Amino acid sequence: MKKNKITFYGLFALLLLSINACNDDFLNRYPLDQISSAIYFKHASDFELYANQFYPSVFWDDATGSTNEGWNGGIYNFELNSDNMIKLGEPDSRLAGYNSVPSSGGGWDYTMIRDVNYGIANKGKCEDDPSQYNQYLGELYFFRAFAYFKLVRDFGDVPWVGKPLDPGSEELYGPRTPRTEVVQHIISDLDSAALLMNSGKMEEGTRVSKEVALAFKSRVALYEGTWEKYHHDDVFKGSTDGAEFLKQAADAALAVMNSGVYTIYSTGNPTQDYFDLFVQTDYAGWDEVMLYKKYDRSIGFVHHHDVASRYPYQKGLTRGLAVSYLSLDGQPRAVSPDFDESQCDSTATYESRHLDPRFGQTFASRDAVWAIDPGNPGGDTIYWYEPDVPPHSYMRCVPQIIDAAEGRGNTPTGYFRRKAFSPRMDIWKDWSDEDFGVIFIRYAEVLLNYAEAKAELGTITQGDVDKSINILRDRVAMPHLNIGGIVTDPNWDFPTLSPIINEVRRERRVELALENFRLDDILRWAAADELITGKTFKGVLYKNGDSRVPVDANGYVDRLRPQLPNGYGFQLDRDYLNPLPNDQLTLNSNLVQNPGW
Amino acid sequence: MKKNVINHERKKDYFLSLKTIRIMKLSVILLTLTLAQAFAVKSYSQRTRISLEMNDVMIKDVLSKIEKKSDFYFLYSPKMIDDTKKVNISVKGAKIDKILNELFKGTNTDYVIFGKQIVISNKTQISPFSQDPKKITISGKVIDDRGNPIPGVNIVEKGTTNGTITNNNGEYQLTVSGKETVIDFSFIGYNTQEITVGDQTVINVTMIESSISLDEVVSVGYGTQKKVNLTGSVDVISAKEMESRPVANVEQALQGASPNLNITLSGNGGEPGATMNWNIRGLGTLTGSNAPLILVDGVAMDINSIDPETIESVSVLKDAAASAIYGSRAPFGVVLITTKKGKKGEGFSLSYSNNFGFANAINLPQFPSSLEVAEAFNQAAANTGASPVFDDAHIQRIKDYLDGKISEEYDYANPYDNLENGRWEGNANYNWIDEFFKKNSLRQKHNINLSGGSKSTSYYISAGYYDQNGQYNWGDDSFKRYNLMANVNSKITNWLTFNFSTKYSKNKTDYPIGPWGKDRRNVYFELMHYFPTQPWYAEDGHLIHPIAANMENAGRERNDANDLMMTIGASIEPVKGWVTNVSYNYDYYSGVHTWFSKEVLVQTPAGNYQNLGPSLTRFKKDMNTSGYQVFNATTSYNKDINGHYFNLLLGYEQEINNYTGLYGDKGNLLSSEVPAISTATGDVNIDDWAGHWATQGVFGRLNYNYKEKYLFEFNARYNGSSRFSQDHRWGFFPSASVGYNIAKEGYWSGLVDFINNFKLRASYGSLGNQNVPNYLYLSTMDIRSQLEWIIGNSRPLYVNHAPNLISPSLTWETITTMNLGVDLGFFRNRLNATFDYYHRKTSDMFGPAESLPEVLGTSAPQENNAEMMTKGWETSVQWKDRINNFSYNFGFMLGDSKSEVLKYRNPDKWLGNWYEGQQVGEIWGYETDGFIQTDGESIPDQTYIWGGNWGPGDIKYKDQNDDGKIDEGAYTLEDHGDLKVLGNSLPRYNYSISAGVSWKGIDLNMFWQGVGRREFYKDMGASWNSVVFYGLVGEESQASVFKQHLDYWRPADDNVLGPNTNAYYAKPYFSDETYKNYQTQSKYLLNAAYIRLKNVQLGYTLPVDLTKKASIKKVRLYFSGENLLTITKLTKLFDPETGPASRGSGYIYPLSSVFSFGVNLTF
Repeated sequence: MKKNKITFYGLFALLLLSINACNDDFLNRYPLDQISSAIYFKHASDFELYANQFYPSVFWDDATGSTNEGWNGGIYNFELNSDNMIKLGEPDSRLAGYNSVPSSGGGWDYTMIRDVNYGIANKGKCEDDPSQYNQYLGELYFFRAFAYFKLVRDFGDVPWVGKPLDPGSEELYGPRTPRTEVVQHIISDLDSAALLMNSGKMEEGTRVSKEVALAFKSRVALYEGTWEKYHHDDVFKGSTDGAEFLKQAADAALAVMNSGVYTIYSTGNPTQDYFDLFVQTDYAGWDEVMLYKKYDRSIGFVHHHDVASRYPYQKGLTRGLAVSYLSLDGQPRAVSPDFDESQCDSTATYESRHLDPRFGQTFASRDAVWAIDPGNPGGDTIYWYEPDVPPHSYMRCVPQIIDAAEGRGNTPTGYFRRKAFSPRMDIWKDWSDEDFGVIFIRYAEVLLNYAEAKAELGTITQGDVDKSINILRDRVAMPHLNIGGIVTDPNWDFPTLSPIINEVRRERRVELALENFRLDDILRWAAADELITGKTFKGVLYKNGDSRVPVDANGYVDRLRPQLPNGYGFQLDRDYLNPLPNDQLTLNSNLVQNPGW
Repeated sequence: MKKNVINHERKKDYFLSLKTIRIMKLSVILLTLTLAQAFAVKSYSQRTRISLEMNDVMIKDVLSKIEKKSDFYFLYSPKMIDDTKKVNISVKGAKIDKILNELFKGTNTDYVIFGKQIVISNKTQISPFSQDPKKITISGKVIDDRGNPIPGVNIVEKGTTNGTITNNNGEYQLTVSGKETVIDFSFIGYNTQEITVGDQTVINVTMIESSISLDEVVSVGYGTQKKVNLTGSVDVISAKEMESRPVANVEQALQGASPNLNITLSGNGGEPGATMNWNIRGLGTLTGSNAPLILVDGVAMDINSIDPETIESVSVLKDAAASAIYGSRAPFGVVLITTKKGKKGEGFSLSYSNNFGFANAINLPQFPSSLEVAEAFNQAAANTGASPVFDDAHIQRIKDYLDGKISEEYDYANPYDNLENGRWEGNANYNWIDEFFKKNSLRQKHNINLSGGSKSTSYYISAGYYDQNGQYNWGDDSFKRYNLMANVNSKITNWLTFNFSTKYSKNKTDYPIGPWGKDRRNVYFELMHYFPTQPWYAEDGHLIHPIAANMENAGRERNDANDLMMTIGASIEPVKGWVTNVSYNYDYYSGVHTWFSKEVLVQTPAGNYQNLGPSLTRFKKDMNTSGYQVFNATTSYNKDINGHYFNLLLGYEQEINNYTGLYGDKGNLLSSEVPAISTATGDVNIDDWAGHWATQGVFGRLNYNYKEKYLFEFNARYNGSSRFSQDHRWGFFPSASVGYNIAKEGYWSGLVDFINNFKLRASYGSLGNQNVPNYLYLSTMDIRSQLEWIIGNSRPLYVNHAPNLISPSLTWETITTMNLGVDLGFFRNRLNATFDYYHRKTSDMFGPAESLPEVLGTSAPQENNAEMMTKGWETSVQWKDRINNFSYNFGFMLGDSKSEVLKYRNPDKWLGNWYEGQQVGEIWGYETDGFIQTDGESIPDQTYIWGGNWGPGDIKYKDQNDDGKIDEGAYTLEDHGDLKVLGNSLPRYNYSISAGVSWKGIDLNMFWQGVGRREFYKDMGASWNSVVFYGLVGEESQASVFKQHLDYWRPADDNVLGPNTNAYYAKPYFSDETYKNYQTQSKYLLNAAYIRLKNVQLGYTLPVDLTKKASIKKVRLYFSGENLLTITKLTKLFDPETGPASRGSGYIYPLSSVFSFGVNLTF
């Protein structure tokens, strides 16, 4: 017995000893499912995965970016921030002059810039042949340009940082880099991107390519060129008169036009092609689409833009946009003999029949196909106005204003969006799993950028117009723009500018309507004095006279006037740029607040 | 277990050779008898018959033989038995008294039988010493407080082995060494008394029944301790207290069971299988979990895997002194759960218990009539400038339906074709609350266990089953738990014991997936949107409620968790007092989680089919396993030298956890009847994960006390964790505590009848918190799948951001606790009270690094740079008494804590983050200055809140800083504009009240639990999620109306629902404008204090005379009710427990009241 005890104790002591030889090996537990940053970036595929992360950021303003996105109606409602669209309730705070200096955030965000810089900084680590990773490296340059462009649009001068910083870096406390210089960096990045990336449509337009970089370069250069030109005499000016940027914009656009990769989509159906362009699921064969966000119901990657927009829900397009459309004869509606303003009513039907076909494909009217429902026993095509279908139905959603008996179909202006509203009823009846793509860059913009840059430079020729604007007009069978024969429009927004600039801007507003360009255009043209300040955005001509519907002196619905008795309060010496957040000013005394804030 | 000790005591080697510790041993014997007696079978000596055939043996051999052959055991001093005399004995089937009479015939030896224990004493005193003139012979009688004599009382001259035992009449006689002699009178279940002889020769003693709790041995870290000797803050909850609440899980049973043990609902509310949130003594850290370490038989385990029936006791270690031995594993206290074990020599026992409950959801909001809903909607739309939601014809249909003029639930002539629009199209009048929730949803629980033991081996085996059905009427949800447990303990030799324990549990949940593919927690929220107008039936009679259809048919989410834990251990005691325990535990967990969604095709009233489900069927499955191993070894030695008691414990422990998981999903099921990856044909996603962590620690404890009067304890642990980098891995966590048992002082003896226990305690110590994510000190690439962007045809892999800046120096948070306590016992322990005050400071708390300019593009890594403090106190008062057959008890517990941020890097004291000096939980908001009642009324400039119009029915905010406008200033502490602190959202004054009576087998218990003070603000949030509170907000498609919401502002000339200018809710709008009236403000600050009757139970134990005829030892029947009554000032839209627990938006699975009955049987 005793012997057993001793043996047992001996063993036990041994056991304890062996445990107490404890060393750090036991506590060294390294990750089993993560890769150390030290060994990353050795292969081209590492760069591919790294570049992939930036794609969802392409639609900056669509904050959700998730598979369930778009319950707010998606990108085609973004122009609520401009004079193209309004919503019942509080007016857009920037246009109304309601913005204030935020304590933090406010868009002053360098996260993406750091992420891109980190990838670029590691380019030397790759052991593969450059031809295997140049595309992805080029994408990193593209996305850096992209992120800086967003900052410049919001804030003007921003510190340019070209490498990942540490908490100890001096650059953290650097001053704001002048905007001209930042844009030069952006253009240089886009040049690098164009040089490194492959030419042609990458992955059917879901990946950026050389031409996408050039197209984006034309957008940035045009932005900065016009900004520096039109803000030349105010507090927001850049360091140049903008001409150099405008030239770069025209050149970049021309390079895309000459690449031969892209064409304007047209099947010869002027009342349908423009509409169809925005409601496709797969743009593989659509040569106008340069970069788009693809959705696919078969893998559950969907959005809900339509269900969220199925009813107007207090959103409406403005009369300002409506009057931009030319009459079918190519003349302004105010002067065209073919157009009788007095026949307009609250339904937009007359306008859709007598204006540029893009009107009827952008604005809903009674003639338009509202839904295509193969499963509907009463017929598979439903028009926006169907007197025979029951109220409160999927099948009826007449855009109406306040006096209508229908509760859910009212808009604050009487005009309702049709563009990019997919008629595929089977989609939105199925849990609203919609999967039509959202276009980020299409070739039409490049043509418009080209025409505008040339017009601003004063070097535009009829040949330039023919290979840009007139191609767009051909799609919708509108008469060509003839530089020599421009008819004066009493509704021109910019009567002090040349007729061709007015017409180029009109074409841009019409063609790119509701694609989230309008606010940028107003800002870079320094056009808030003409378009925003002191104004309100009107709606349809309203004849019925219900006292609950505010109208202006001419009988146009003026929904926001009671809230904005003095019109929008956009401050011309302040609101062209957003304020820097207070915390950043405190943290870095070298940062100076934007003018007026 | 206790009996085990008795066997030790009787070993000759010790008993005879280690005289010096004999006194101590006697007290251990007495202590152990306390429990042993409780389990004695009354008639054992009468029932048991023994046959013996022994020749020429010593008496003690005979006694030993009897012990072997039966469950009897003897307590005696060897001196009392003549060990020279040889006897012969031959009996057949004789009762014990006959055998003993025979054995002791003609000797001086007498005996007393208590159940299975037999105390042997001398008929008359035999002085072991030669006569000494100083010696005094004393005699007397020992009685209890009711005057009955107590036989078998130990009477020992203190500090010697000289002693005796009272006879059957409670009489004794003892010769002691002198007048200064102190005599100890001790007996199981009674307080030991010390009496100085003095001039007395007759000393009659009245023994005072001790409360079990005082002499109770409680579990402390890596051992046990007498409750009376505790210096830390430790609370004990016995199985008996838990039995008085027949609930399904341990969390519910412990809610309110100990002051400042706070157990609150999680975001899953009262869902079947939902777990709860725990903390002890309030908040301890701002960044991570505040949960205590929960150990079941010494091993960390999921509390919900435990069948409450198998719990023997629960110790709650609250302060640093009590939990420091766990070092960084237990920064915020420890809950030690001990499961039941078999008793050696106890014989076989079988028990069965069950419980059948019927649950009904409580505290649900109620809808008004369909007409009121429609009119309120129309008013909100009109206020917005929108046209009516329900037009005149529709209103008429609603009226006609209510008046019984029509029976169609919608306009049959114009049937609608979108089911989700039913509520807008219908004119029905359902009280959906009645339709949504089940009546008397069944839950049942069964447990069977067997226990017992031979002399060397004991066992306890238990099997349990619990099945709970949910409360929703559609798409039945359920939770099932299966438990199996076995604890076996075997004594191999007199110095070596092995034990083996295995616990297996299986938890299964089965839920419908959330409607429209949303998280299932949205069910309640979605249900609340379907107001009375929603039709139930189409014209042809089929059901057309979209939520019901979704819940019934959209798919299921199932969880199946298996947890198998095995512990093997040995206890070695080579020398009396030196005990070494070694144990190894392996816990294997495996979980399978599946989720599938499918089409829900329902015919609409218009005749077409609508798919309410997703367009794509999909099946998801993830499996995860973990292997958790703990090895620990402790060795302890205790010794008592002249009242100086020492106990030293040293130990080593290591833990390692390896976990891994695999996830896959695939779209497009071939058949939704057989959802599986292999029956799907669509796109595939797979993912996996793996990880591990480990800790290692050495620890020690030194206890010292002098005569249980002056108590001292020191604990320390040196602990390492894999979560930190090599240089910052190890931490040392010491604690010290002292206690002073004033009532044990001699001078206190006069007060003993009044205050029999009076102990002061103080402790101070520090603990570490390692509850941070793994690998904060390593730079890794975060590679993910399923980019939110399709490239080509698929969603590729991607890297998520540049690696975070790393925190190489990150280390423990240190939690330092000071605790002062007092324990009091009055009136012979009828009244017990305890009070603790504590002060807990968390330093080196994880906080943000120095704020750096955003140009950095990422946040600087966390640092150990913040500090917070929680101060609080807790008290409990228990009264227990028995008057003849009637016993009753009453208890009250109250705990409070509040927390303050002492240090946090937020130099501007921006209110959007923690700041120095902040009271944790404070709610900032505007003060409401009433409604604007007339047009043009002068109000401050409120354009900061809303740039549009302000008019009658809108909120007027108070201009706190008299600058003429309402704003938030810079939203900092210095410049907070018109904001002020409205209240505090942390629960204060958590309390519980328990009371019980029992009389002749009937017992009645009740238990109340509540929160004394809590402000609750239902944040409007960025969206309309708080519809349950605000009702008519956001958009008409997201709004809902409950009865309370009709109390909204209406002008004096309103002729629809009548004027209501003194309303609770502001003028409603169906647009963003609604937010202008629902800024955080005093008007909508809610008082969430409550008191709730958690449980009432009425039981009846059948008389033993009756049951024993059926060979049943015990039969108890009971009825029980849970959550029967709630008293609160909170709006009826919320339950005071689920409201604040929900996810910031007022939607949560409701709690239930449960009526149940059950039976406990013991064979």
